[in-house]
Amino acid sequence: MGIVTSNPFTVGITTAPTFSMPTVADELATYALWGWTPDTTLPAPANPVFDSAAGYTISGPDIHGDTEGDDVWAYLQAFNRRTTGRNGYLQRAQAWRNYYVNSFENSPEQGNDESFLFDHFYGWGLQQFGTQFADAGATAEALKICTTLHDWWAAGGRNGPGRTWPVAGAFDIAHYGHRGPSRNLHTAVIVADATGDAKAIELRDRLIELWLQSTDWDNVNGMYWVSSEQMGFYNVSPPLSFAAGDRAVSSFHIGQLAEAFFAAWLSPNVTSDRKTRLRAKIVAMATWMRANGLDPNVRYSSDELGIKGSGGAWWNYSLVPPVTTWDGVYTISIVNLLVMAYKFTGDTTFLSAPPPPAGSTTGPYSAKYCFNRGTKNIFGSTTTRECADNKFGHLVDTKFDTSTGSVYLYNNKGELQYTYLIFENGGVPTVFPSS
Amino acid sequence: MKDEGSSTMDNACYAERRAFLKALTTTTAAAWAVGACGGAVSGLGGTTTSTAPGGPVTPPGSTPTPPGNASPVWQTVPTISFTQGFPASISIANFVTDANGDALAIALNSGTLPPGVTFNTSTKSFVYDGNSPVASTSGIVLLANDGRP
Repeated sequence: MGIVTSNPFTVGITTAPTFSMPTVADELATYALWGWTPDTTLPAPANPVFDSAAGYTISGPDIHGDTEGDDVWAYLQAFNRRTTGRNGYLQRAQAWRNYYVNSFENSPEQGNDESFLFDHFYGWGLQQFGTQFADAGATAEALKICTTLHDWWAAGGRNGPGRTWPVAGAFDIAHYGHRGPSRNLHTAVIVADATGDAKAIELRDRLIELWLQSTDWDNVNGMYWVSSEQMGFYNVSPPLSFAAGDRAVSSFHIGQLAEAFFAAWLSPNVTSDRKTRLRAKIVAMATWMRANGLDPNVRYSSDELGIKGSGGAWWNYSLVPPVTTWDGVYTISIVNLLVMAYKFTGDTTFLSAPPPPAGSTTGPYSAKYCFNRGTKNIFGSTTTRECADNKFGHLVDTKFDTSTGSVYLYNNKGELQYTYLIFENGGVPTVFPSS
Repeated sequence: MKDEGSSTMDNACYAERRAFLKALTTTTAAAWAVGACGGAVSGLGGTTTSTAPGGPVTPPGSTPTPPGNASPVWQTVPTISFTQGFPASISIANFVTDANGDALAIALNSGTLPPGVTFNTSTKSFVYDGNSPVASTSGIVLLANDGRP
């Protein structure tokens, strides 16, 4: 029979897009929708009773060297995703909250990160903690962090001090990488919405324009590339050459940038014009990553990747053969970015396209495929996997990083921060059409 | 991520969404989750399995193409949320495929769209005029026809 009906679904008109963090039930429903079943040979609990984080304290952490995500946010969201067995996550969030409120200002860790252009400054989780629990201390510290960032940018940012704001359209904001200015924007968006603080609003709006008009945006490929100087820090030049047209980006930096842009797009206080332009940038970056995000042979992304002036893409782990080792964790970094593009376009190839056949040199690498590849990677191996493609071995916030004493979530300080969007509505994310 | 308050539409489709999730989570995933409660949290990394990098991700369940005609196959159509004041459209053509490559006619099968939203059968798109107020309708169903008996 050639006539088939769709599932029943909802069509609506809202005053503004909304989003709520998907729950553990959503995550499990997503796996069920995909036909994934738990790998019962593994010891990981899917939804552990984690009601105590006894002994978990944060004292003198290496903020610049160790953190790679907002741990207040990560543990607060892990708490919010559950209704029972979750107090350990809240205690971890509180431990990080206490560190920021009581110890962070004027600490060596703060000063050290300032020397790295505030690229590991986080404030959005602290602000959300303050809002959720009416915690004036957390809100006050989040505002301090945001004010510090504002005053630094207002004095010239990386070109300061003693100058004024960088000029949008004449500034390469991703010069030293994306994560710093991304995290700065993310903090400004959330603090501005929560407090209405004038400096937070100015920082948000100026950073949005600096990003939207950045001179390091490649309109042909749809990507922000780092500078020649940063390519040198990535240790890929040589064999690559900026002068020859080779370009570089870090996959997880793009994940951080996507989060900041999406937060701005969701904000009720960002202009519709800016939201339209932010959305276009997200779709463009996702389009490039869908085609080039993964090495076509190993089928993982890498810490750094980019284009060659002579054509094609590169991935740092396979830049110099033979390829004997890989850190596949970076594959998860682009999952949310791809889901965002799906939400903005309704193009299902961003969400769940089958992977390209062996021998292909480009994607499509969908969000679902990247999730499957990345969350089951085994550090160092190009072939060994945690479990089969139709299984799952853990949830995105149930695996801790034993190499750092389990202080952080596993896989680049947590899979949750890069993947939660794919679980919306149990694996069927809402689509927001554009004109 | 910013946790916005529930919108009118969110409230309207909440029950439907929860029912959908409940149906899904009463399968093996949820059962395993309950059975695994109380286990250790850290110290993972033991059992591993090798799989080909290009191995299947899409689970089994797609219908093999029969010798004759193959029916169209829908992917799950998501909630579609327009924003008041912004005319927009979205094609749903890529949510349905036909193994034979037949051209598919897509039409509204059941449900009444919110005022200001129409379904264009030529472009296979939902179209919002940008003017109509906040509203939401659940239970919209589309029909795909490959033109074969």
